[in-house]
Amino acid sequence: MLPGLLQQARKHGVLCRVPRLTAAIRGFASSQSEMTVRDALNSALDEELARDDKVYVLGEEVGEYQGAYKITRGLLQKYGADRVKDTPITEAGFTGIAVGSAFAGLKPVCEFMTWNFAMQAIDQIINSAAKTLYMSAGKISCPIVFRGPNGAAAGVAAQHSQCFAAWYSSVPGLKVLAPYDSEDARGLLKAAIRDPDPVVFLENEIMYGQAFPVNAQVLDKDFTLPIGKAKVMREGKHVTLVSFSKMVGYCLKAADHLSKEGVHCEVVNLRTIKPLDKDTLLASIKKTHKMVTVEEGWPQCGVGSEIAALMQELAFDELDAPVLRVTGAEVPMPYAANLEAAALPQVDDIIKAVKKVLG
Amino acid sequence: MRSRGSSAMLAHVVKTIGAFGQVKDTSSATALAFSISCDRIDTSIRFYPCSIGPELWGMSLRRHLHFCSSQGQAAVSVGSPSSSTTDNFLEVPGGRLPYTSQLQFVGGSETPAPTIPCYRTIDSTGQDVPDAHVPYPISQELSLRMYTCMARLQTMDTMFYEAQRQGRFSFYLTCQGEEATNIGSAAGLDNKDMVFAQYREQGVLLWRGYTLEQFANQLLGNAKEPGKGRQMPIHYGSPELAYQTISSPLATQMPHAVGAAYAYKMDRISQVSVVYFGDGASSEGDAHAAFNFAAVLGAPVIFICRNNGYAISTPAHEQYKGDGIAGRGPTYGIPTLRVDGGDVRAVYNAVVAARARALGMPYNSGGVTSAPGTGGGGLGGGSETSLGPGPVLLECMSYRSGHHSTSDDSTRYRTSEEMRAWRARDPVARFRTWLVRRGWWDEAQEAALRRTTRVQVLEALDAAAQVPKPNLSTLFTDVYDTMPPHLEAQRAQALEFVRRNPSVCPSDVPIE
Repeated sequence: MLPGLLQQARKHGVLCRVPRLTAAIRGFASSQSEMTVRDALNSALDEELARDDKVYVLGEEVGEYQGAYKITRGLLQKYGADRVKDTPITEAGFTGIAVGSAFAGLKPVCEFMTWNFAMQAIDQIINSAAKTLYMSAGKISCPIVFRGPNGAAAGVAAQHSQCFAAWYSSVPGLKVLAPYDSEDARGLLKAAIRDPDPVVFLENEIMYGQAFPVNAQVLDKDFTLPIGKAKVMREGKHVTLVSFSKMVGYCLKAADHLSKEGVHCEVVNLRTIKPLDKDTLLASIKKTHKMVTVEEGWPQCGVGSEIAALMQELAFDELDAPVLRVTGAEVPMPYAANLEAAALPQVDDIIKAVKKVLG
Repeated sequence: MRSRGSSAMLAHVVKTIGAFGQVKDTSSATALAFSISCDRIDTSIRFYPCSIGPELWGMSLRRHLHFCSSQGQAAVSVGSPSSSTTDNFLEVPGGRLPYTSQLQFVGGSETPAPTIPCYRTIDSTGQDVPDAHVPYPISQELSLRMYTCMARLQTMDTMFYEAQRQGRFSFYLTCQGEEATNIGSAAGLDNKDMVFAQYREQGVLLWRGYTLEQFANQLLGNAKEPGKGRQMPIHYGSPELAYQTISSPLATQMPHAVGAAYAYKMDRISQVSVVYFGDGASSEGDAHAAFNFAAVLGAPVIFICRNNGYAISTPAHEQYKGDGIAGRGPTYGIPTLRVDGGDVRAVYNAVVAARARALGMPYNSGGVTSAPGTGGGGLGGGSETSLGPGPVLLECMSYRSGHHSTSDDSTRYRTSEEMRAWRARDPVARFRTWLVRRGWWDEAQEAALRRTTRVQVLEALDAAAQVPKPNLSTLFTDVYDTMPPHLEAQRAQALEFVRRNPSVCPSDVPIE
């Protein structure tokens, strides 16, 4: 009853100016609470560090500084410098070290300040982490998680804004995850840390501060989400919107807007980019017969390209229209706010694409 | 107990804050914020960098202050812009630096750092060097074991090289000229110490028990090959023998070795990791990161640089301008030894000592502690030593007598005189001379050993050639720990296609 009352109160603008009181009342709500994506990731790391003493975190500023984006806040104080390691500035170095320690039996969570900087370590991720199990004929495994913010933030321009989902998702031996909300963040990170294969975990800086409702099940210390399963966020019958990470939120907004015009979109949150959940996509296309993919990354060989190829290969007869892709513009990210907005998909772009595919 | 410099600094700070007042808007400048706690003042102060000396800019002030306040001192004892002239040291977050009033460059061609000398105990003619320090003498049994392994390695290399030339497999590279580095180092390690090799350390595998059959199987990529035919030749690996699978990109194995050593330290296992790399590979960024990190982490890793003078066609004097790789070690804070890589006894002694040092145990004390194979003691324990575990760097100087690989013809970039001169200093011949002088070896034994080895290598190659290739259905395994549905589907499709069109599949590749 209390949460419902709270929702009503917030809707009517009551209690908005009394945040402390709201927070206090919220604290007493037992079945539903809100959690930011940041706290979701932090709690997941905390629980996995407690659960398995082979797990450790390393990266730049993860310890004393509490994390460049505060994802690792409090962990150094709780687990000590053996489990939360601040590293010198060398992505190639600390990634290689993390990979080597994983070969030797530890379970590192290797943080990149952003995935852009991981390009300085990409050989270690691909030639060492991804391929070694195969090259060693199954003898040497690499149970590592590489994580950090991916894609565009705001006003950080070309070398801080690239989306790497497409590149990593083409590599056999890697699993690639991209959470959207707090439930995704908790469940997928915990699953990633427990997984014996190397996992690329693509977060999003803008999403860190966003809060989402989480229930007791999500907060359970053994809550995990299955890797390789997408989630249908919203059902619909006219068109399927497929996306991951921050763009899921944009798709939901577009779906809201379109529903007022009588167009009902099914919104699929991929959650896992590799291996792609073809079954969920095929089930959806059989229902709607039209699909629009949405991603921040560049168009050529993007995630949408793979999905479009799969749909026309596997469900050609189900398609009433070509699969349309909404992507970022094919330019290095500009800095000026107006140019940046023009270079990234907006809700309007998604709406336009849906209308185009509906004819 | 406050130093005089720091109380002057503190006074300066307080005065500055008084002048600036309470700082609210920091968006126009980056501010350093820290807490000062001492016996009288306990204040949070926000501070503009322009009012601190340039030596503070960009440094991790936070850590230094944390250290100082935990020592019960005034936290601000950093570089003193308004210092008196009686302070003798510059205290910075990196440590304590003495001053000099002389403008004098160190290093570079005009004022080079002293060249690190090369440790050897047997000279190039196979004679004992008088008064050589040999803390770990080699018994007749160990000497013969090392020699026979070096000779077998040399014969095996020659024959496999010839086999590639005859087209039996696609690629080979020899370690000719480096047999002493390979075998001397392998003999000095514990068999459980994890080896991260580059690609010219097949002698280490041979020492640990990899058989000629296993070598031949790997080169031919057949079904008996533990690597399931996935890797190109010479990319051996053997978890049973604690030898990581060879990976082609250079120097990436260096941070791996540091990470593995860190894992042993965390797990409190008395084990080291050992990483081999060449003079060329040491130019990679990964090498720098590995050295630096190993020292910072105190990781029990032995870095063994095989400086054989060439990186394919690039001679060492074009690879670096400093004092080789050994010259770099001390500047990273790593205990370093340069060794004559053609003297197997020197290499052996260096590695045994290095291993003890890496584990933080006493070394160099005449073989009393940590002989190889005993597994050593605890990590960094023992009352006689205050050393913790940490890295050690050995640079083994030798000469790459052979070509870089079967894809190379080194006569294009080096003279035959140079090659001839080094062949005359062949480490195998040198050690043989030493053994013969002692009466531990003779011509008859030599001839028999070489003959037997040749026969064994040929037999291994012939046997390996009879074994079929790995079957097609293994193509898709081990990509992931558990085969995911999309690969299962691809595998099923591929096998189905091959069953319907058997002529597509080569005759020596079984389907399943």
